[in-house]
Order: sequence, then C-alpha cells, then structure tokens
Amino acid sequence: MIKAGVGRSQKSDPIKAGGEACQIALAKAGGKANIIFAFSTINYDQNKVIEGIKSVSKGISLVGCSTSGEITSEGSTSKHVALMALNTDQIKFTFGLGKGTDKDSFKAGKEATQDAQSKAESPFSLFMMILDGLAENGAAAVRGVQAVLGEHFPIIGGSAGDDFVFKKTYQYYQGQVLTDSMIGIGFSGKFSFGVGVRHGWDPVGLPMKVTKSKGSKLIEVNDRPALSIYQDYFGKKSEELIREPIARMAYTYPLGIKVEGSNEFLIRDVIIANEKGEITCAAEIPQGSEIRLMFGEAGKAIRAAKEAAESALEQLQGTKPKAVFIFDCMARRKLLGAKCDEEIMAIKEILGKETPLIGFYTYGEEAPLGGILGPECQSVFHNETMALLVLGE
Amino acid sequence: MEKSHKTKNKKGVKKDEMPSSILAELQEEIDRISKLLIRRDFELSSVREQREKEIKELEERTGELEGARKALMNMLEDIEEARREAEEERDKTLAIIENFPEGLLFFDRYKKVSSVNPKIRDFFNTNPKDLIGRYIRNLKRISSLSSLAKLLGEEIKEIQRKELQLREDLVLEISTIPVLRELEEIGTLVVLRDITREKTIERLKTEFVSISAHQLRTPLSAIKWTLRMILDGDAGEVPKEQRELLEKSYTSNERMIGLINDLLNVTRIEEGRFLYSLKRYDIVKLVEKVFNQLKEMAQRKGLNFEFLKPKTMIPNVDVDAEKMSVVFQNLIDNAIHYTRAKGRVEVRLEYLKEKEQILFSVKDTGIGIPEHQQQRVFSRFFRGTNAIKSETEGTGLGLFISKNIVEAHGGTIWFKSEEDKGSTFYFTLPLKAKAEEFQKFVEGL
Repeated sequence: MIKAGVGRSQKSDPIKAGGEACQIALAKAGGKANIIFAFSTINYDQNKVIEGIKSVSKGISLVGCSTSGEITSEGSTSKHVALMALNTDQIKFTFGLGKGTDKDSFKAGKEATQDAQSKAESPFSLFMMILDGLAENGAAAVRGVQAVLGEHFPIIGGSAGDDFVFKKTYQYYQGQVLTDSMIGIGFSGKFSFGVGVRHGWDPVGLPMKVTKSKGSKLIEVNDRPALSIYQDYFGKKSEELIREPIARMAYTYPLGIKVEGSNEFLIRDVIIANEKGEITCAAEIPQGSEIRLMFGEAGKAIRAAKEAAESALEQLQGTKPKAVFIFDCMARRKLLGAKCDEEIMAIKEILGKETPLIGFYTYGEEAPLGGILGPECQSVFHNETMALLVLGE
Repeated sequence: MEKSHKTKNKKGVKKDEMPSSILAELQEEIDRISKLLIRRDFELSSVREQREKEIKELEERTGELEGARKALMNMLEDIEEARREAEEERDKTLAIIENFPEGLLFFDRYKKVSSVNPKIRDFFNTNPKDLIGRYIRNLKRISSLSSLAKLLGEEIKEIQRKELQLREDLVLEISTIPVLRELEEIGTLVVLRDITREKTIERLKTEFVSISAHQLRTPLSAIKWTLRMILDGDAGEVPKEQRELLEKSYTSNERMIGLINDLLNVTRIEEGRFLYSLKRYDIVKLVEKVFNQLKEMAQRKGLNFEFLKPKTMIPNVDVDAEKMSVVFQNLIDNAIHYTRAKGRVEVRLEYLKEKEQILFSVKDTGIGIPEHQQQRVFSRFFRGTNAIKSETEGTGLGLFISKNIVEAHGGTIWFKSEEDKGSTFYFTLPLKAKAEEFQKFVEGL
C-alpha cells in the first residue's frame, strides 16, 4: 500500500506554516506516515519551520531541504513550505548523512551512502540524494554514491536551493537543519518505480574545447579565459559578468557536454566567475571535453517535461502512479516564467491529475542519464533538467 | 553535414583546396549568427522577465486597488447606512414633535422661532410656518401671541408652570426649558400645556367643597346654640353626668365648625375670594390674645409654655386682624399639639428695625417633620407621617392657609425642623403692607 498526502502553507509565522502544511499532508495520507519530505523557502527561519512540522509529525522520519521554489499537486509556488507525507508498508526507508560537501563532495556522497547502507536491513533498489546546492562538485557526490552502490545503481535527487541568492542552502536530516551536507535515503522492499530525465535545451553556435579545467572550475576554453564565452555571446564586459553570480544572468544559457549513451547534452550551470575569467560550474567539466553553449525555449522545455513523465510511466510497467517526486532545475523556472505551472500540468496530465506530487526547484539534479534504468543505467549530475521519480503500485 | 557542404560546393574546384576556405567562412557565419541569436534571445528574455515582473506588480497593484475599492464601497455603504439611520431617527423625532399633545415652540440662541408643532396652530390660530424665523420681540405684533410674548419677555425668562388664560375657554400652562448641547445653550424650548380641563375640574371641586361646607355649617351652628342653651341652664338644671357628656359634644362640635371654617377658607383662597381688610393693630396684643386662649390647653398638657415679648416698642402693623389671628392660632396650636407632655413651646415676637419687619416665631421640642417630607409642609392636606400617628385629628390645611395669609401681607413664612427634636416656624411681616403687592396677590389668586 502506498498512500501519499501533500500540503503547503505560506502563513507568515514559520512554526504555524510548518504545522499547517504538515497537518494537511498527514490528513490526506490517512493520518499516518512512514516518512515526510519537506521543502521550504529560506524566507522562513529554517529551525522554526522544522519545529512547526515536528509539532504535528512527532516521531515520523523527516528529510528535505531549502528551495528556490516549491512544487506540489497544486502547481508551482514560491515562499512556501511544501511537504509530502508518505504512508506505505512495502517500502523501507534508511537514512544516511555525509558532511563537508563544500570541501570533498565525493567523500560526503560516499559517507552518506555507507551510513545508510550500514543501517539497512535489506538491499536498496533505489537511492535518493539531497545535496547542498553549493557543493564543491555535484558530479563527485554522485560518484561517491556509485562507489558504494555500484556504477549502474539508480540514483535520483536534487540539490538544495536558496531562493536564487546562491549563498547558503539547508538540508533537513531527521529534524536537524544542516548545511554543506548530503542526505541519502535508501529505498528497499518490493515496489515499482519509474524515472524521467529530460531538459529540452539545444546546443547553439560552434563547439568549443575545454583546454584547462580543474574539478568544477572551468579555466580556459579554446585557449582563452573561460569567461570569454559569455563576453562574446552576450556582448557584455567581464566586469558586468563577475559583479554578481553569473548564474543570475546565464541561468538559461548553460554549457552542454556531449556524452555517450544520451541523445541530450549533459548540462552544466555556470555559477560564479572571477576576475581571472575563471568560471565555477555546478559540477565538473573534464579537461578536453567538447562543449557547446545551450539554448532553451519554453515550448521545448515543457515538451521535455512531458516526455520525462511519459518515460517514467512506461517504466512502471502498468502499475498505477501513487506518488511523484519532481527535481526541477531553477533555471527552467526562470526560462518558463509565468508559464512554469504549464510544465507541472503537463506532468500531471501524464501521471494522473489526482496523483500526489511533491518537489522543488533545485540547483542541480541527480538522475540516470536519459532516464534509463537497468544494466545501462548511468546516474550523473545534471543541470537545467526535469528529473522525476514515480512510485507505482 | 559538413561533408554535404563540401560536395554541394565543389563546382569545378579541386577537392582538397576549396573546403578549408569555405569551411572557415561557414564557421564564421555560424558563429556570427549564433551570437546574434543569443544576444537577441538574451535581450528578449530580459524584456520578458521585466514584463512578467511588471505584470505581477500590476496584478498586485490591481489587487490592492480592488481591495481599496471594496473598502471604500464598504465605507460608503456604512455611511449610507448611518445616513438612513439618522434620517429615520430624524423622522421619528419629527413625528413625535408633530403629534405631541402639548404645544412646542423652539427659539434658537438668537431668540428666533426655529420650530413649531401643529398644536401651536390650534392654540393661536396661526399658521406655524408664519412663525418660523420671527424674533420674539416681533411676536407681540401677532395679536393672538402677544400675551405669551409678554409673559416670556424679550429675553425669554425661565418660567415654571405659569398659567396663561388665553381665551375664555383656553388656559395654558407655560414652561421654558433651556436646551443645552455640550454645556452650550443652543436655544429655549417653550412647552404649552392645555390645562383648561384641569382648571374646570378644580373650579367645580372648589365650588362643591364650598357649597357643602356652607350647607354643613348651618346645622352645626344650630347644634352649637342648642347645646350652649342647655349647658347654660336655659332649659332647666342639667345633672352633672349629663353636663360632662354635653360639654364633650359641644367641644367636638366646635372642632367640627373649626374644620369647616378651614375648608371654607381654603376654597375662598382658591376662588380668590379670601379678601383682606388691613388696619393698624398692636401686634403684641394680637399675639397675647391668642396666647392666652391657648394657655389652658398647654398647661393641661404640662408644657413649659412661654411668650417672649419684644424688648423694644413695636409700632403698629397693617394687618387683617382676624386673618392674622388665624395664623398665630394655627402655628401655636400645632406646636402645642405636636409636643409631648413636659416639653417646651416658646412664642417670640421681635422687631427687625432695619428691615422694618416683625419676626414672629414658635419654637417647640416636639416630634418634628421628617426631612423627606419637609418640602410639602405648606401644601394643602399635608400631614407628616409621624404627626398622623401621634394626633389623629387635623386637616392638613392650617399651614396652607397661614402661608397664604402671610404672603398676602407681604411676608415670608419658613421653618426649621428636625425629626424627634422639634420645629421652629417663622414668619415676617412688613410694618406697612405694600398696597400693590397686596393687590397683585389678590389678583393672582
């Protein structure tokens, strides 16, 4: 049995907001739950909003993070707290925590996975990760998980947001509010699930070669400072581009890497640039890679979300969707603007209008390339992507 | 893609030479176009973002305006509601004034008629509309209103229940009420009450009492003389036992004659027929005469009964001796009656030379008058509750008659009293009664 309930609130008092959202979600889940997924704006004092949720949820396991916008069955919102209470007897959840994502994301990813695995009574069939949105290298965190669970293990998750401030994000682990952390949630038991991973961005312009990079720092492209890409394309001076996070300007013009095993480019967001013309990305771009500037369009982005939902539904192999998790890049929200609800509607049309749905706008998505499961499954760190998970029964 | 370009564009050029230049050109072109595209798109999306922000702000602003509009509508509704209520209240008040059984005349602070109710038309045979806006001094010119205007005076005096005989068949009782709003006088309300019917009933009652008293007095006089003759032995010797009984009958009959006389006096006062004939009298002698008549009764009761005569000579005073004796009689008699055995009654006569007045007083150590009843002492038929308990007889007319007599002589009567301690009644008399005052008094009755 899988029964999920979703609630949200924007009461001005964070304790009351947390309490209200939790009350609604729990009531819809049938009054009890095994786990609560909570996503909240940083407008709320994080400890207070968790205190509010716990005042209602009591001892129920609680995980989640801060966001740059929340997603529920009712659509897309901002400055809310949103949560899902999941009531199921066939999925067993085990939790792990890794710290220091700002210093060594690989290590934190590995630790979180090991921590969870050590507590698990039965093997995992799916692993969900909630990562700090400003982790030093999101891709390394995913590899840390794979180092424990295997190269082809299905991983899904999102990186925490902070309402587009790019300063500090929060992760919720069993009622604690943490930062620079990764939370791992192992799913064991007999249940069916599907994932959908698409972005719909297209490459534009000539291919460029990464001539120098280190981790998530892109130093030179075509033997010129990396920032020159944006100077050239935007026609802007470097001072303008480094004054504040370049992400705010380049959300919808990320870099794409051609990867084998996917017909879509793997996208890397640019976050911040410095005077030397170096760009820090959300995850690594290996030296020698061929990259392109990526170009998004609202219609294509919505179509991609719909395709992601379709592919996830296919993987359920006839079982009925019972709960949907959406890890949707904040850049997509920027691209879609007022149309952002259309993207959520497109997903609901495929997965059922009544199916409870929870999610948030992320600073990075962790999911199998192309949404492919099975022996070909290769989970990576994405940007600008709609990554969704459906639990079926 | 690149290969197809090469094949399409070879046109007689050697295969190895031409692609590099064309390729470079094409690449340059692609680069140029893509940069142009990105810049355009960047600008467009900035504009779009700006627009969406503006739309959102506009929506918020519209929401706020809508809210403000609603609040304003609510306020207007409230005001409309308040206006309706005020109008209803005003209509109600107007209806009350219109249908008020008494005439109402309101003067504003400039002594100008500002509202009038229909009853005024009945009283004065004038259209109320003709009165609005007229000053009080101009009302005299309207003949039907001249007597009222005279009574009110140009300053609109404060008047309490003054009677005004407007016509043969119409008597009004006039009162003025200053109208204040937050301590500031905004005008004066004149209330005119039709008391014609009350006056008629009162007159009929007085006539009835007068006739009955007269009719009663005749047989009582016959009884008096008959008893007197028997007691004097004109019809033969009367045995001692019978004499005692007959004497009691005689005293009771005398008392009844006194009561009837009181009633007659009251009716005369009310009818204005209580006329006085003033002559110069030695007031000390008048008091002494009454004092001596009552001495026996006081001594029987064991009272310390004293008359303190004035130390200086008193000139003779203008009085109606018969009526003034009634006053002395009433006041001293009351003091004796309502003072318990072994008490003291002190009659005093003083001459206030500077004021040219006589001050008469009777002080007793009797039962006194309860404080809450003191206001009514000089009203007709008033008797103190404690007086009724201790003395079953008494009409309650003596003080009413006395007050009328004293005031008719231009004097003033008053008292001080404390329950269970005693009372002192005072009155003054001017040496020379002012003829006009006397006349005025008689007219007023």
